[in-house]
Amino acid sequence: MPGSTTDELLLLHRRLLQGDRTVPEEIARRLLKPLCEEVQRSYPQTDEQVVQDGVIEVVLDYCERPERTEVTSGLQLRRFLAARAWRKVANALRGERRRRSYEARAAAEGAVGAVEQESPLGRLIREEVEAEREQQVQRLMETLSSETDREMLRLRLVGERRTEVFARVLGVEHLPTQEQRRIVKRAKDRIDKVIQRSGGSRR
Amino acid sequence: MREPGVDLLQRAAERAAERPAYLGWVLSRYLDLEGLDWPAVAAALGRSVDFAPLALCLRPRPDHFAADVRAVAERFDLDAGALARIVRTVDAVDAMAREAPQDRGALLAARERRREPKGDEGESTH
Repeated sequence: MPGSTTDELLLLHRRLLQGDRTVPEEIARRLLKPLCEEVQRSYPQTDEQVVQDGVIEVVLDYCERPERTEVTSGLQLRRFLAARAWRKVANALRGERRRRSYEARAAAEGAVGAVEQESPLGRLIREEVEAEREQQVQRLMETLSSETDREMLRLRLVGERRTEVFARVLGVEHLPTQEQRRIVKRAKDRIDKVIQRSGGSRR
Repeated sequence: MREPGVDLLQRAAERAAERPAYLGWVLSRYLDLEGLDWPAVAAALGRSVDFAPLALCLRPRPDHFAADVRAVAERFDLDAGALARIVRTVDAVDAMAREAPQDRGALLAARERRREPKGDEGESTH
């Protein structure tokens, strides 16, 4: 990282914890650019502004509540922020994909059955089905207490199956593949149990 | 030539201005309340400082107000008194708005009336 050692980052983290109000500016100056470059490498086709927004949000969140981040080295802090930013961008892209897919579906349905689609009854039924589905997803999300678990569930609901994607969410992407698989499976099983105990079911 | 990453800092500062925890939010509120532009506020702070670095600082804590304001002022070589006045103005307006949200419109209207003479050379309001 140009002009910034990981020891300096740890020092900044400690100053932030002590309440130094000027640190976010220093952190932004040192970390925004390298973090954007790092995350952009994972999303080479993605608009750089989407990546920048994700990184910025994560850095601002962190500076606002540094006590939520337990790190013992600057390197760990940087990895943590990079992983969070990666997830943030993944969420943004997923939302965008969902929106596009919905629009495409709506357009296709419109082309195939314009009369039915445009009838008030047809629209009402479709809206009810969608609202019910949204409510179900919301209920499932509410049974989970951590954002990581909710992110895991969100990914599964959109059909994600790749271990490396879940490993990133869990922040274990640096571990050997075998270990990642084990941890991801354990997390999925735990989430399923929580949902079952609450009386819900994942669809 | 601009320093690399300056646009990124600018973008981050704009985001910080949407978060009440940041000084950017306070400064942005102050600009709106007083109807000023950034160079005017920077001049009041005693130095032509960029908005972005200042906006990315965290807002002074009420229980460490003087020390926090002093730390920010020292970091950017600003007039601590002017910075404190800006933060206090925004704090006061926010506190009043919180206490009596129904009076918000009246408060804003009063501020508008106060500003009116700026644009014309007519009589001042008292």
